[in-house]
Amino acid sequence: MDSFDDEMLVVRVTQANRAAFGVLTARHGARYRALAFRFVNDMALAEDLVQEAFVKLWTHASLFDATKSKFTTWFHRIVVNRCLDEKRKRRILPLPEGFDVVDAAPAADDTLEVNAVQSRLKAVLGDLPERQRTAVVLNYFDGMSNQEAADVMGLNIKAYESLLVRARTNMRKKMMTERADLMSAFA
Amino acid sequence: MKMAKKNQMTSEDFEMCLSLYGSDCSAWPAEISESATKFAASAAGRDALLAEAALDKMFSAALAIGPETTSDGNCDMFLERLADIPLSAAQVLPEIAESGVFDRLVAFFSDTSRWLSPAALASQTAVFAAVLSLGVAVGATTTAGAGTNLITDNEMDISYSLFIVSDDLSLEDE
Repeated sequence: MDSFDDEMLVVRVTQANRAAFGVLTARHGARYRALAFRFVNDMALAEDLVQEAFVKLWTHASLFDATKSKFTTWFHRIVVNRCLDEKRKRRILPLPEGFDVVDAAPAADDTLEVNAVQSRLKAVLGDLPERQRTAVVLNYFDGMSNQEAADVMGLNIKAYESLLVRARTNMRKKMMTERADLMSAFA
Repeated sequence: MKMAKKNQMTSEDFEMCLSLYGSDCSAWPAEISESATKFAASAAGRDALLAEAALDKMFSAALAIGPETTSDGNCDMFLERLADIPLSAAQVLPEIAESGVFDRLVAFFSDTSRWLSPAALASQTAVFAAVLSLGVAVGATTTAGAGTNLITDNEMDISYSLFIVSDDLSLEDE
């Protein structure tokens, strides 16, 4: 069953074929976890969201229509929408009483380059509008082609590329501002 | 792409081209390559190129790291959890399979595209012919029996015996 393509596997999932579902999770689980992590910056939450998406795949596999889209396009949309929903929900959650705001900056003893890069990326991406951020994550981190990413976002290719260009320009501006701040601090 | 003036590139133009074509100005389209190279030598151009290089470096580093390596190394466990989903979640069958006869009928007739299918047209013709035949048969039976089942006006009038009519009054009886 490993040689089956995704769409054939989903057809078997609709027939309650657990082996087919197992192949899909093994084939795409890590990739979607990585994708979700780029959106929510929390591995445990990313895993929960991807698990929810796979539960939906198992329970509602019949909703997938192979004549309309590829499996990965359909499932990307499910994962991305779930991540964006979660981010919106978290944004409007009221803070509990006596809540102390946690400093989002890296901890003082956190000197690992890995964390530094992740934190910087998080800061730069975090400032982008939601659609630009989604465009960047799909293109740079998930390795989707522009056409695939445009399909996931429901845009035409021109609109998607324009979004990507604006996102890159904004990120660069943010980095230039950071650099200017740093230089002025040393000066 | 529009330029502010011919052979003169603004900071915005340069930024846009950087996003479109990357940091190697010599590889940009010929008509803007020269002006871009000039702008790249300016302070604003150098800043933009440095930021672009930093952005590239950050993306490369983040891709090399990957979120998996920052987790608690439980990718296998995560994949096992996913593979076990069928053990705890029941599949939802298409709605029509769970609904009652009425819902199935509604669902069937709500799909108007089926109305003009060959099977539907044949069914409609058969039903029309059956109803027509039944109507003709009922009509023929009623007409044939009309002569034997005549009902008189008096039988139809249930107040007939309650009133005195002129036939009941006879002066001779008195």
